[in-house]
Amino acid sequence: MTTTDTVTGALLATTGLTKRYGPLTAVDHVDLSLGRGIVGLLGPNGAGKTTLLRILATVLSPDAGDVRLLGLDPTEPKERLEIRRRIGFLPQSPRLYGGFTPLEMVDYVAILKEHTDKTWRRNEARAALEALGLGDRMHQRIRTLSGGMQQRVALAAALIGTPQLLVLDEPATGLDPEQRIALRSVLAGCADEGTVLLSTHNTAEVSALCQHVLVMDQGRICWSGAPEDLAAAAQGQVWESPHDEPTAVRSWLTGPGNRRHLGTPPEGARVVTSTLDDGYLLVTRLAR
Amino acid sequence: MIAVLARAALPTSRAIRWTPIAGASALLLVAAMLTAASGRPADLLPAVAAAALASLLVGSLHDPAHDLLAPVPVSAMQRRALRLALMGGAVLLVWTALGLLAQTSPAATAVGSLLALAASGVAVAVWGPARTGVLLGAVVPVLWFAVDQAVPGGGLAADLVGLWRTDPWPVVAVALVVCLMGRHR
Repeated sequence: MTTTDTVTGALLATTGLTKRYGPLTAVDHVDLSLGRGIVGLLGPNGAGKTTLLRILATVLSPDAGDVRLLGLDPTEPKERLEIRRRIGFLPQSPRLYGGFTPLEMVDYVAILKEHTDKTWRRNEARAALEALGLGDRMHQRIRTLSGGMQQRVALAAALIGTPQLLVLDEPATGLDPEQRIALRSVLAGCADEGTVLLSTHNTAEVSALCQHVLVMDQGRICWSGAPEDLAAAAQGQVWESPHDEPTAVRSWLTGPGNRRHLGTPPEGARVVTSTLDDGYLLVTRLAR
Repeated sequence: MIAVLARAALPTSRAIRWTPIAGASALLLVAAMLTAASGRPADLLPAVAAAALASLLVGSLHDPAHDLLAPVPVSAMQRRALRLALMGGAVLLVWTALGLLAQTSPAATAVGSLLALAASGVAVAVWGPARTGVLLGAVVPVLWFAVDQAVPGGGLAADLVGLWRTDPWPVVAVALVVCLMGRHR
């Protein structure tokens, strides 16, 4: 299955992208074309999201297919180097140097991104940390920070240098609601400069932040479009009742004595407005 | 790139864990001093030191922030080379001090055997699995030393496992070629 997505003018394009680990095909013939804006990547655990993001961050090489990032070919060493100067990457569960302060950690990443001016680096690092709410913690040892704070330090490192392509693997993990809101503001600012591609399990994050959503399952992009269209995909197929429904393909408890169902509603069912969660559950169900 | 690595040298040196090498070096130097004071030859000490120091040198390749740093323009190979250069300087200082303190022949404390074990470990670390490569590489010097001690002398097997002592430079050359072949890993 192939899917083509267009937001506006491609900064990121793939054709037939495939990555295998032994008998497992983690990414299966993915075609993408993404321009400026924030793109959310939804999918269940093991769908291949992390592998896809690692390929798009030039960390992994695909087994088959073509990738163009910022108009460049990452398989060519010189072009890969240029891409790496212009991208930011947040891996899943990033680890940092506990003995560094956030300012030192972000500055170190900036050095490795070939930023030569120390004053510029320090100012950029301070700005990124302050934007993520770490202004008062930037001189504290990383090992003394909470998991959410460490996640934000790693995010600040990814943001350094105003990357044109920002690849974020579950950036909101470990963040409290206030920090999530701060993160949204920062990412919205980044989207003005280029493409932000983020994976998440949180559909609320996608509806609040993303102009475009991709749903991935079993290595394939099984749905692509605007978040409101994903919600609309389940319209007329969601209903609520206090008991189990045999015609439902999926049912779950939403509160005491109330169950939500997905599928073909029976006669007289109390059909409700579908949400992004409903749309996501439906398209991943249909993909199997 | 040299300028970038020079700029990264100080923070990289702070990112390396120095406690293991400091502890091992202190132990080895004390052992060398005690052996020298007793007037007995310290035949085994340089070999033990070579294995321990080589293992720690390879262990310095462990980078907790590897995932975060994976897509920066300075490649993993370059960052590893920087770590080896920084740690290697300290290891060579300790090795030289051991050579001065221990009552052994100059051949026993020649740097070739240390480099042969270290280079072999680095080659395994480069080609090993992403998560466990450094650990496997750090085991190589100790394992090679242990097997060398265990195999009885005189046969082909003893000659082969003793190569790191008897012909270290070909071992270094082969290991370096293996490392270079894996420079994009």
